[in-house]
Amino acid sequence: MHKQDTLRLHPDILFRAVPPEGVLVDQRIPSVMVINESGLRMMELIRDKGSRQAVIDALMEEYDAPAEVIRADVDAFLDDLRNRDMLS
Amino acid sequence: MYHSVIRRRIREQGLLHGIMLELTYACNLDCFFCYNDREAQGEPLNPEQYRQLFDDLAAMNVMFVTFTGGEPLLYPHFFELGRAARERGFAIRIKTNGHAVRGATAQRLKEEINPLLVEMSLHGATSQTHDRQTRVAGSFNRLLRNIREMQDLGLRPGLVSTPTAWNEQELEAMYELARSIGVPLRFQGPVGPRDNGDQSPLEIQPSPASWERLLELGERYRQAPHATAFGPPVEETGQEDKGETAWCGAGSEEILVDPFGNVFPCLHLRWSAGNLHDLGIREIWERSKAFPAARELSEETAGQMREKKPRQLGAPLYCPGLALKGCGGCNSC
Ligand code: SF4
Ligand code: SF4
Repeated sequence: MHKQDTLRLHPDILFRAVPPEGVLVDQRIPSVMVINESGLRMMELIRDKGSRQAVIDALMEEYDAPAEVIRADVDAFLDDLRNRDMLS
Repeated sequence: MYHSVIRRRIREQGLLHGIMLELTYACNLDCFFCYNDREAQGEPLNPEQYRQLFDDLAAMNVMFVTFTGGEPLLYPHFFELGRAARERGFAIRIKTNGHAVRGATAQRLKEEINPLLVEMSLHGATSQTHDRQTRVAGSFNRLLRNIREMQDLGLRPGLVSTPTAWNEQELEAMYELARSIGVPLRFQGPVGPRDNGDQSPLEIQPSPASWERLLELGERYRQAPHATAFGPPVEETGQEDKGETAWCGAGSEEILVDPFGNVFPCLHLRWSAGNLHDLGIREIWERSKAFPAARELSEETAGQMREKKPRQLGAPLYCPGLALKGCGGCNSC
């Protein structure tokens, strides 16, 4: 499942930083949610990089954590987005 | 959490969260109580200036952009602006009378802008009452037809109404109508004077009893009336914040820009903060004293009103901006 590398957010999912967290709007419900700091960063990377591997690479540059931990965190976050139908 | 954490944070940190753009005061309807000053003069902002504004707002992490008017679809570059806003990732609300939102226009709205909400005014539950307000025959039936078309296209229509002496017998019928067509309805008010100071719209204020009735209906239909123009941007997650120190979002949640680039803290607090012909929005936001003053007014109002049941122009609501225009201060004490 995570081998599918290309990532694109659903066009009805919009978000902005309200430091240190973020606000996410799901236009389909519609609802406004709060996303935490790491969730916000992953959303930004998905939007800007567009691939799972690029998101992982960028986070490895930014955080001093073992690669497998970062990979697992990213995959868990992507699973959550998929479950909410937030990736198109 | 959005309510309790984010709204307070944007105010405390002085972040800008939303902006309302009055694109034009031209309109294809002619509502008796319209507050716009159609004689207002100035140099309209051009599409390039709006694009620059959107770039700046995106860099400032603004989430909500609302297009309003007049009738915003009559602004000659409406779709160009809508696309530009969409490309920059804003959640877009469009406040329109809905009269022109059909056919190819409705389709373009969905495909090119995909707004979060298309909010339209409902003035009654019958064509007689609605059209009496708009002064355009057939506007009620056309609104209902257009709403169906919008729903078929996957647009998200919403309705807003202002209680008046003309529709006060139809408040429940309006809720029922909205429910029957599957569109959320919220009430706002009270009717205020026109922006040029003309008080004649106040002639059609509903009776105080109708406001009480509206509160009861609001409970039943799970909708509370909002102080003028102030409502949550969309349905929110989370509970109301019991420790909230502000009365309303003046100067933080949704600032206002008129068609000529004048920037104000909100719809009814027309304190000049600057003009986009002279300065960028970031400079205006960071330098103008009008926004902190508006936030302060909101907090002072909360301090004065929290334990009271304020009424303004007969309504169980209180807008400090309207009060400063000389419309009914708090008469609860
Ligand atoms: S639709 Fe709105 S802008 Fe147009 S006349 Fe009515 S109140 Fe005024
Ligand atoms: S002053 Fe009035 S119009 Fe402005 S945000 Fe407060 S309630 Fe709304």
